[in-house]
Amino acid sequence: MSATATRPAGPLSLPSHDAYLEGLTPVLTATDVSIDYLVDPPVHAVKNVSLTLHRGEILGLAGESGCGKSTLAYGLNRLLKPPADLASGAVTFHDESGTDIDVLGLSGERLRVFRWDKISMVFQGAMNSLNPVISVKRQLFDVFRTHRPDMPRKQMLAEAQELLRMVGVDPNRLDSFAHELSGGMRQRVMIAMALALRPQVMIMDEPTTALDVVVQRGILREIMRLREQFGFAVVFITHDLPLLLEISDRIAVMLQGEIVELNTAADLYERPQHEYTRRLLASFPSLTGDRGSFIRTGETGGWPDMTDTDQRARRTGSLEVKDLVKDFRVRSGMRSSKFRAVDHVSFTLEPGKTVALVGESGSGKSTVARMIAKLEKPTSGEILLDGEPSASRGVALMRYRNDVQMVFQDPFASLNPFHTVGHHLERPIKIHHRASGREGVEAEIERLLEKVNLNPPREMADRRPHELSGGQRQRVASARALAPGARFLIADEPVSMLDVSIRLGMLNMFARLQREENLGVLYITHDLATARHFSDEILVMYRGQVVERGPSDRVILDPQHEYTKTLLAAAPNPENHGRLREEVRAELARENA
Amino acid sequence: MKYYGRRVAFYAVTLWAAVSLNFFIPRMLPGDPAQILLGKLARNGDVTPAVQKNVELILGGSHEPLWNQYWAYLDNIVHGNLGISVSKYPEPVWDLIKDALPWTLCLVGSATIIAFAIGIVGGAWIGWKRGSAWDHVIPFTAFLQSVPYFWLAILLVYFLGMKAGLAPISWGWDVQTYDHPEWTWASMVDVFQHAVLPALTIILSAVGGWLVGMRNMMVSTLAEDYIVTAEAKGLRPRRVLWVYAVRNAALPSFAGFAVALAFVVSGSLVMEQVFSYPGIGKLLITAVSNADYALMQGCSCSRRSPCSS
Repeated sequence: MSATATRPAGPLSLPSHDAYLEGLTPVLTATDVSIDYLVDPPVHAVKNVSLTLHRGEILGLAGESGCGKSTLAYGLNRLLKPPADLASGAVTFHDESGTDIDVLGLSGERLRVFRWDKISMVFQGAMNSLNPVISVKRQLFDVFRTHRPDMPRKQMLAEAQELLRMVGVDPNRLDSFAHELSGGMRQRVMIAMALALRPQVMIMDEPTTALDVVVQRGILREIMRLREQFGFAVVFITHDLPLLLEISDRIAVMLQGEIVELNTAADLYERPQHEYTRRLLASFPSLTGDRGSFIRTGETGGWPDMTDTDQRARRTGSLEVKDLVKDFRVRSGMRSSKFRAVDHVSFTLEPGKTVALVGESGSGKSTVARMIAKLEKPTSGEILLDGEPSASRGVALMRYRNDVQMVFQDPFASLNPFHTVGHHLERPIKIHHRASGREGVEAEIERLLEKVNLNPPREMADRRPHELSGGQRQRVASARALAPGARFLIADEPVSMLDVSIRLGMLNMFARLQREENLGVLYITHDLATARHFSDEILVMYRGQVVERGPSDRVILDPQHEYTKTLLAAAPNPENHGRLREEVRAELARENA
Repeated sequence: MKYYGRRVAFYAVTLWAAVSLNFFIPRMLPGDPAQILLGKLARNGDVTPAVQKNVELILGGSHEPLWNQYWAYLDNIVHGNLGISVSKYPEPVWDLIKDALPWTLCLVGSATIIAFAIGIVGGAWIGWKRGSAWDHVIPFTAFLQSVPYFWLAILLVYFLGMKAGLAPISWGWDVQTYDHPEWTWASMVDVFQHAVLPALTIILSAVGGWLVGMRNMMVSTLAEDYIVTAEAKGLRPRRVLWVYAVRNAALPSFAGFAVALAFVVSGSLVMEQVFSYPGIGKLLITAVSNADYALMQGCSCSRRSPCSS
């Protein structure tokens, strides 16, 4: 039974979609699956979802956190734990041998044997899905021992080595432990493990989310190649729609436990039917399209009234970073060696301008931010505020912090759960003498909360962090940074932990604040597209050095440095949908010929 | 090399500090054995200077400056000479400790290991079956842990020892039958029986901590991705439990176990007093109540050295 049969009307029966389905045989069918979380009150995480996965197909499952996509995937393999409860529905696995297996009817030993042999999984936590206390080899052997008890040890070893080779990891790494492997290698090992029994279905839950774009691209390519070779079907779950558009055959968009749209990748991109799909697509700024077209879309209220900013607009000055160097001591065993995290970085922040610092994790961009915020001491180099060397202690440091403030990446960790929003703002206002008297302080808190669009401000001030969403928390964190009257804002990946649909709104808020308050903003990110749209200048960092800098459009549209080109090529781009698949197919055809 | 040098220097300083404290603290305690005895003698009549000199010589009261005494003490320690006990005159302190230490080490050491093992295995099981009736074991053991040590011991003596007569209630062996424990089957059984109640006290009061720690670590470990992966891999539940969950969850407990082992010798004081067990704790109590400096110093040294290593 296919999804089209249960839902004859609506976007699911587009002619092109029907044409796509012709000639395909189903491998996994979910019918009317509902999953509840039995808490008080019960949460209906998945509502009557019907979905068919076909042999050899990559089916993308897109949606934001909490939409039920992971819950659905866990349900397909019966991995749900209380309080999650599969309330109703049926899941059928159509085996190669022709027998149909009722997955929900399996239990005990029969379920255990079914898992991994027919459906294997790759989880999001590349870092955490390997057992830290036993070697990669033993974890691979565990799979063989339980499912292929007759396999001789020699063959197990040969198979394990072959698996690692297939995913592009040196077979000598078999004896390694998880902590000895890089993030990308761990995820490759996980994929090797998932392949071990040649399953017919692989469920991948955000398998590349924690990885850098270049590594991510490598892994995706590997998945595509292996899929071509072994013909397994993939359910690929992610919030990253551009990525899905590039690799999937079909995409299902989930919203609040329901699939609101299901279509081939090309059609979903060209002719999105559902309002939510359109909004999701619009949340990803294009790398190559019109610059600025995305600004203004997310924030409510459009551009603010600019009349009261005259006095702030006259602000001048600069924050200059000169030849900043940071060395860290790395201890390995009994020896310690130096590691240069930041290598002679220089740039200038000016009021009213946004500079983006772009790079992968470990490139040193966060260290730069921490040094500017005076949380880390530079090994050498200077930070000049208005041409004066900045202080590192005492009253002078306090004055420096009046002017330079930071917004951190993790809105959940950067607010103290014990204190109200009002308290978080009151402290900097008092410490930096921004207002006096109870009423003065309260008025200032209200002004700040209005500024970051937290309405109604009075009510918001009394809430505690756990009562706020991630986006609201990040707004509080921004208000807190503005509270001392900062002229320069250091924003370290301010939106990377937020849901995609609110990211643009958040960035638009930063853009608005920057205009209203005439701020100088350092926007640190790994996302080239938003860097392009929201900054005037881009600096690309690689291994501690700035390898390329220039006006944002020039850097993105006409990159000079090899590394910038690599980064750009690896970034998912919805306009390239289907390209990766064609590339891989061509590559394999060449190899076979 | 630099690393080991630093560690050795650290331990040397720690040992010196411990040894010095052993010397000074008893001398700050009120009461001087020679003065006490002289006071008693004075009540019965005059004390001649000769008697006074003799008493002071025997009981170690010294008019030497404290500094000189300290040097003499350090010199003796280096040469393994801990002095002569006053309360059990003329036994050398070293011999007394040599007799008492094995009792404590065997009893408290094995009780600690048993408590740890029960805690790890039980905690792993309760954590694995979280939400089941097994969870109710936890508050009960926590209660046992919060009961004062000596009170628990007295309860055991009364109910298991005296009422039920399940086990002997004092001493390390049957002193009426044997002068010393012997290497005979009957004597070893006898020694074992005498150890049952003291060991049970220690196990009951220690197991709760291990149990609760292990259970909580199990619960948080079971939420880890590699556990879900192991289950998705279709491994047998037994293997997931022992190789994937317990091995990771037990790591903090093992760190705590190392610390607990260091306290084996020092944790025995109250228990040995209640059961009149011939261990190092009882020896120390004897020494303190008789102001026997040499014995006190000797006991404290042997109690502190495992802690500082």
